[in-house]
Amino acid sequence: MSALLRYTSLFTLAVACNGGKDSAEEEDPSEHACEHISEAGTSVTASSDPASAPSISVGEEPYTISLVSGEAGYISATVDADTPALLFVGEADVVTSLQHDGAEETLPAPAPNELCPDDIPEHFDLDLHAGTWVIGLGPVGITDVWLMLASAEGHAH
Amino acid sequence: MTLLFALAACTFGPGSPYTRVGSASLQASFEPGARSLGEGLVVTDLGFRYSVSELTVSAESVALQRLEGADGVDFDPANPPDGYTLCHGGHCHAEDGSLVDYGDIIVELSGGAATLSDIAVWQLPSLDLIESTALSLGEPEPSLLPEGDLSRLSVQVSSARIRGQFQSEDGTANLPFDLEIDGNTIGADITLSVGRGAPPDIDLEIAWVVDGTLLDGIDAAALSVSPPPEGLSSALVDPVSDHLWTNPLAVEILESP
Repeated sequence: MSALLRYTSLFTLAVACNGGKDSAEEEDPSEHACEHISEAGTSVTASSDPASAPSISVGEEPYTISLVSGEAGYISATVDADTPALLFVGEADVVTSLQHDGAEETLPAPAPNELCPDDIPEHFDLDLHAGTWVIGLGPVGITDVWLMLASAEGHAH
Repeated sequence: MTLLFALAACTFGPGSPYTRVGSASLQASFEPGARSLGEGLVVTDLGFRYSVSELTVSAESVALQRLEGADGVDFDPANPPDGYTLCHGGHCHAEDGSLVDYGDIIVELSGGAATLSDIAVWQLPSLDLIESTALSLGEPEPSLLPEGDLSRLSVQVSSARIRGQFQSEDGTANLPFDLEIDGNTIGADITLSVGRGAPPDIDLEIAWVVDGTLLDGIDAAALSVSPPPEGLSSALVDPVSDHLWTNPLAVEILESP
């Protein structure tokens, strides 16, 4: 069965199980990420210094991050309250570190987005506590990467 | 008509084999992906460059397995057991950051009562991941699967060998390594019910991709300045082994045309 057929089947099942509820409120972020993988979204250039990492938002918007050549680059996200989030990434092995208010955090093991594993080979379940989180990207041999940092609300397990 | 009913009775009798595994293919490869710098060079998370000239595994067997003795195990992915924070997509996130398949968690929760039994087995030769070995495994032994649920596919590996070198950015300094790594079992949870309504013939596609994180976390500069007393290769075996065996196995079960 092709990946497209698998995704289509799962998507159809997800729609069928939605029971007519408001799709804007109930959509699984994994499904949302798959739907937006073809959109470049907002362009952000990663910094080479964690202290000056540009900020992205927890939300439904995709980003294309320009990476730092030959070394690690950094982006950040600031949350006011504890926020379970899902970081979807369009390439595997690009996310390499995580910091919370300057302290190193263990990067959880990634897993593919089950609905579109070929397009989103990695997602990270992040339990974001209030504060500023810095995400390390690379070093890698590619120049940019697609990602989305979504709230885990509505994530089906 | 009578003959037709008689044939149907033979086909669908209790305990009869309902599903035949026609063939299986196994693709094993080293694919650095985003970590590739081109010309065979790969970059680690710490920014060190390396190349791999040999990555072979001595594989023993592939087995379709049935989980037995797990009837009393209470495992609900919506309520992760102690030691796990989140379960989805066939695995749970352990508190140490690792991913553990549902099947392994059920065996763990059973306290040893549950076991995985081989139902159909293929024998395997060595796999060359640099040459991106693609093997047609043919039929397993036995090829007719008995009624019941199969929950796991496991690849038994007896050893692995990885040869390569760290390389300085200007290419003038090399730090070669030659690693002999103990074997392991790589597995993937599957859902395959054999019985009434099951497809009569199936094929399997199995893939094992080792990614570019193989040497992540290793400070090649420190090892170069202060070589470990046991030798570089010995010092690398454990961390590289950890990375190697966490690469997941992917299994597709296809209904034969």
